[in-house]
Amino acid sequence: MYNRRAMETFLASVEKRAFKMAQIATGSTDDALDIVQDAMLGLVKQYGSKPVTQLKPLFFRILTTRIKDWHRRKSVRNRWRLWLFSKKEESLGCDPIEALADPDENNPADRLIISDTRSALESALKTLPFRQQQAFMLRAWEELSVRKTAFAMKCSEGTVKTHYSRAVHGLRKLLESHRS
Amino acid sequence: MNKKNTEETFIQKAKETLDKEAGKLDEKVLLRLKHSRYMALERGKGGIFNFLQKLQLPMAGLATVMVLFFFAFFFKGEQQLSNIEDVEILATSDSPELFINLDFYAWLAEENDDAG
Repeated sequence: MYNRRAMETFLASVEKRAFKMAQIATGSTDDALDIVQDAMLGLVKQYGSKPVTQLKPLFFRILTTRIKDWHRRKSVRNRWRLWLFSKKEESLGCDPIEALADPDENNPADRLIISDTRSALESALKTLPFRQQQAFMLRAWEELSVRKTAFAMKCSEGTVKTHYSRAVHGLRKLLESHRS
Repeated sequence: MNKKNTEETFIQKAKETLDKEAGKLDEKVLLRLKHSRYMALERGKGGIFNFLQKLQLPMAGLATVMVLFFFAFFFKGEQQLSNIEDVEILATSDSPELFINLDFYAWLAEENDDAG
């Protein structure tokens, strides 16, 4: 039976962390918001009648899938863009990619603000491979068990352990070099 | 043991840092998240449209069901009407023969009127 109040409490308790996860994974605020919205809708639609205790791994499973889909779409888009511009480049004799404005690039003033507001940890997390990033976020931040993390990531428990261990070591290494 | 403790401390600090980051989201983002939550909850609320969507009942099927309902009610209504007529016949003091040969008696009355 769908319990609106319980579902609302659950969604309110995870939405901010889910957004941060998606934002770190995608590097885009708007895309992260869309992904979280999709995950919320998916959860209510598919598992609205489940007890609240079972919702967390289900929600993060949907969220992880949506982020993966986003990466897949982005890589396809990039491949097309590269192919199209390489065709143009051949005809124009110059490199138009160099002339393109990078949406992720910030000017020095922006960089200063970002370095103030974003933690070094967040920046370090962004450099990790996606699977390690997810394993770390779900295990360390969401405190999901290995079994539930494996369910959310759609992989084996052994894979979770490997990704998590690599993520922890990678992050420590990155943050130590950041400090020194 | 010491290594394990260091790792646990690191994870704890990482968790706290991420919690702080999530706690200072700007108003626009919070508003969007609230809106998304509301939309999701509305979807779960149900209603006939959501119920049909859940059942994946095609619109053609729905139309067929509606047509069947219409005919069922139409014929039922007609039957009810004929039932009322039956009751009237039974309740009248005239002989049932009158109703059997109603056309004949109507013609006879017309003939009498013309003659009179």
